[in-house]
Formats: sequence, C-alpha cells, structure tokens
Amino acid sequence: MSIELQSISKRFGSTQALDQVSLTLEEGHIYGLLGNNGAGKTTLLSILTDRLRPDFGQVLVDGQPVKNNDEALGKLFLVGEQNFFPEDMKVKRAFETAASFYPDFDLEQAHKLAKEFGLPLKKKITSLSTGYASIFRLVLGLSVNTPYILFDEPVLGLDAQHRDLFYRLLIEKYSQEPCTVIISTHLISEVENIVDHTIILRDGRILRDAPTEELMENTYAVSGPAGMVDRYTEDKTILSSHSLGGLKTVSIQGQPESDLPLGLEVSRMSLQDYFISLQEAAEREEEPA
Amino acid sequence: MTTTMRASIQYQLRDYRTSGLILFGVNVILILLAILGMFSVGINGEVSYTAYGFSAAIFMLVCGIVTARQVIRLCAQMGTGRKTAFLSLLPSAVLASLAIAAAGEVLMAAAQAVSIGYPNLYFNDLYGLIYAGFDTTLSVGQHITSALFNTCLMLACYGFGLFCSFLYWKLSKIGCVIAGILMGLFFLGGLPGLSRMIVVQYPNLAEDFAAFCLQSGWNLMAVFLVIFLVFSFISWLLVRNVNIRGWHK
Repeated sequence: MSIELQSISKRFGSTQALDQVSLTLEEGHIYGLLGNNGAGKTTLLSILTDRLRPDFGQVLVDGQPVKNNDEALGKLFLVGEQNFFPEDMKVKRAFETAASFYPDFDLEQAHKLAKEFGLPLKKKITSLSTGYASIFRLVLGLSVNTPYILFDEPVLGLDAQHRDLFYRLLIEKYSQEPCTVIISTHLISEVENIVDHTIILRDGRILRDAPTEELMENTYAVSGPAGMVDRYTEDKTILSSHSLGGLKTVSIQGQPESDLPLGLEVSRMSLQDYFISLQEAAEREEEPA
Repeated sequence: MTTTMRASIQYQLRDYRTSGLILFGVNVILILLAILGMFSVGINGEVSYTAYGFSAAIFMLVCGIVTARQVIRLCAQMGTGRKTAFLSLLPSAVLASLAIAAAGEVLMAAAQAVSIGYPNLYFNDLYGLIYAGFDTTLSVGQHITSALFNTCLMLACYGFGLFCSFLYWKLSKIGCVIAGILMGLFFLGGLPGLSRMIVVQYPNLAEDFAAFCLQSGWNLMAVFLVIFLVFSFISWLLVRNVNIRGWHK
C-alpha cells in the first residue's frame, strides 16, 4: 500500500515545475511536504490526483496508475487552496455530494466538525471568508476517510485557535484510524511535531526525503567565538552560518562530537531552522563561482 | 455503473431539475400571456406561441457551455477521472433533454386543447411547424415524435455548447480572443457564405440534403444526433488532457 511517483517532470512554459521527481509515500505515515514558494509542492499534489498531467513519468496508487483511474483516484482526497466546487453550491450540499462520491464519507462527522469550527452549513462556499473556506475544506478532509489524505496549505487564513483545533483533530483521527497524510505547508514549526517523515522540495527537485527524526539527528548547530567556530567546522559539512559581532552560529550536517572544545555550544536544530539552513546551502551552491 | 458515475449523474440531474423547472415555468407564463393576448387582440388578430423547443435548445446550449466545466472540476475534487466525469455528462444531458421535451409536449398538448375553441390562437412546436403544419393539433404519436425531435435538437445544441466550453478551457487568453472573433466571423459571414457556396457549387447535394431533412422528422433527428456525437467526441479530445484548475477562495 503506497503512492509511487516515478520520474515525474512537469514544465509550464519556461518554468520547470518538477524535474524527475521520484518518491514513495508509504502507508501509515504523516508526511510533511516542505518547500519555498514555487518549489513545486502544489504541482506535485495536483499531479498525484490527476488534476495536472505530467510531461513525463507516472503516479501509481497501490500499484495502479492514477490516469483516468477512478479506483486509484478514489483512494485520494486533496484538500487544496483552490476551490473546485460550483459557485452556487452551499456547504451542506457539498457535504452531501462528497458523501455520494465517497462511500466512507462520514456525513455525521462532517456536521459535527462544522459545528465545532462554527462553519455555517447554509452559506455558499464562494461566499465564505478565506478562513472559513479553509475550514470547509478541512472538515471535508477530516470526514472523507480515504486511505490517503493530502493537505495543501491547510491552515491558510486560519486563526491560531482554529489551527490548533485542526492539528488536534488530525492527530485524533490519525490515532483512531491510521491513514497516510501528506501536509504541504509553509508553517513548518507548527507541523514539526506532527510529521514523521519530511520531504523538502527546491526548484522542482527533492532536496531531502527522510524520516524527520533521522534528519534532525544528523544536524546540529554550534555557536561560539567566530575563530573557534571556524576552526571547529574546518572539516565539517556546513549548511549555513550567521555572525553577530564576534559570535558565530553554524549549522552542521552530521553528529556532534562528545568532546567539544571549551567555549563552543551545541544545540539541536528545529525542523524550520534545518529547512532554512538547507535552503541557504542550496542557494550558495547555485551561486556562480 | 460505478459509484462515481452514478454520483456525478445524480448531481447533474439535481441541477437540471432546478433550472429545467425555471425554463418550464417561464414557458407556462408565456403561454398564459399568449392566451391573455388573444383576448386583447380580439377576433381579428392572431396570437401564436411556438418557441418551447427553441428555448429548450438554447437552454441546453447554455448548460453545455456553463455546467460542463463545473462538473469536470467537481469530479476532480471528488476523486473521479476525466473520462468518467466526461462520460457522465452525456447520459445526464440525454435524460434532462428527454424530461424537458416530454414536459414541453404535455404543456403543448394542454395549450392546444385550450386553443381548440379559438381559431385565432395557435400553439405548436418545431416538429409540428416543419412536419405537421402551423395550425395542426398533434396526435399522441406526433407529440411523442415531437418530444424526441426536441430531445435530439437539444442534444445537438448541448454538444456544441460542450465544444465551445472545452475549446475555451484549452486555449490561452489570446487564443480565446482569436477563437471568439473567428467564431463570430464564421457565424456572421462564413456559414452563410459556405451555405451559399454549397448551394451554388453543388445544387444537387444541397437540395438532396434539404429534401432528406424535410422528408421525415426522423431524418433530421439523425442529423442532430450526428452533430451531438461529433461535437461530443471533439470535446473529449479537448478535455482528456486538460489541466484542471479551480479558483482561489
């Protein structure tokens, strides 16, 4: 049981949105799909759900290609930024429509969640505020009960209270009925404790694809007087470095040594810091010599 | 039939029900106005209403243009492929057209029954006008044929609507402008010119085709169905690889 992306490439005019992306998304994990604007996250999710067709490569869901395949597509549900519902459709009818397409859609749960989030059922989807439009899509995603749920910027426009409620409900749902969840987001710090596997995209290519814990175990930050830090990092893989006065902080790929020189301080990196460091390292590599 | 196909058809039929009832209601009002008009013009004037089939055909043209993309988008959100989504459009249109045409015949039959005592009041539809005569009261069999005739006409218009909708979906903004201008030019100058050229260059062919169509309602129905199938097929070619995007909100 998995989603397989095999050498997916997609170009829009002169922009290479995805370049030979190959991935396997295993059953029962919560994946974090991270990347800067234009990294190709939304394109990737749209290709996964056959909304966009790749120029090259194919997507398999449990071994079946998704192209025009209702059985494979029926196992996926994408909660995206864009609205695919008719302009005049009301929230209540959208739930009923979803229930007619997805046999496992829990209509009762959708109504319960709508009440919990304060989502008005009688309003047209297009007349909802940005926040409530996001809530509407989240309620669908949390009620649809498909084996794979894909969230693209799920908390867009949501206030802190509703964001917290969503993350709690997602974890609750996942613990009750484990499924595969893919969250594409810019709010890395908020999903850091949720995602157990991280995929980082940059310019249509995969920079990292590994369990979150493994990524975090293999990176650390060292700070101290600039000269000492420079000497310490001479033979190490530096992701990023920042100086402030005579002090310097360097993010390093690898395991910290137990006998660290006196005066240097080691700290664990957050996923967001790691992401930023990785992007900075990639930028440096791309700079012309 | 798969769950998704059934769900898509059910969704569309529910939509057609609402808009079809509005179309029917408007026609009822127009017929009532025609009857009232008959009293106002008096014994010397004539009042007729023959536009049900035509209005239904325009209705299906608009449905083809407006709703087809919505259905494809909705199906994309609901885990349904383009093929099923597209195929679900066709039976939905057939069922909706049949229902609208059947309702129209009931309305026409009722209107014709009312008009029996009034020699200056005429109710008829396209089939009656072309094949039975302006002032003929249709038999039950003719009403059934008329309903099928209107259904085929509506489907031909729907097919053309699908084609326009998907063509504009596929084209870029500049392409849409160019296609719009070309289509306008075609209907204003190209089509009449082409028809004139065919009549002049191939008089026998044009005459034979006109005779074939006028010979029997079934022949023209076959022509309408061919138009429906051809435009539907071209529409599928246009939509099968289209990028399905929603709108931000």
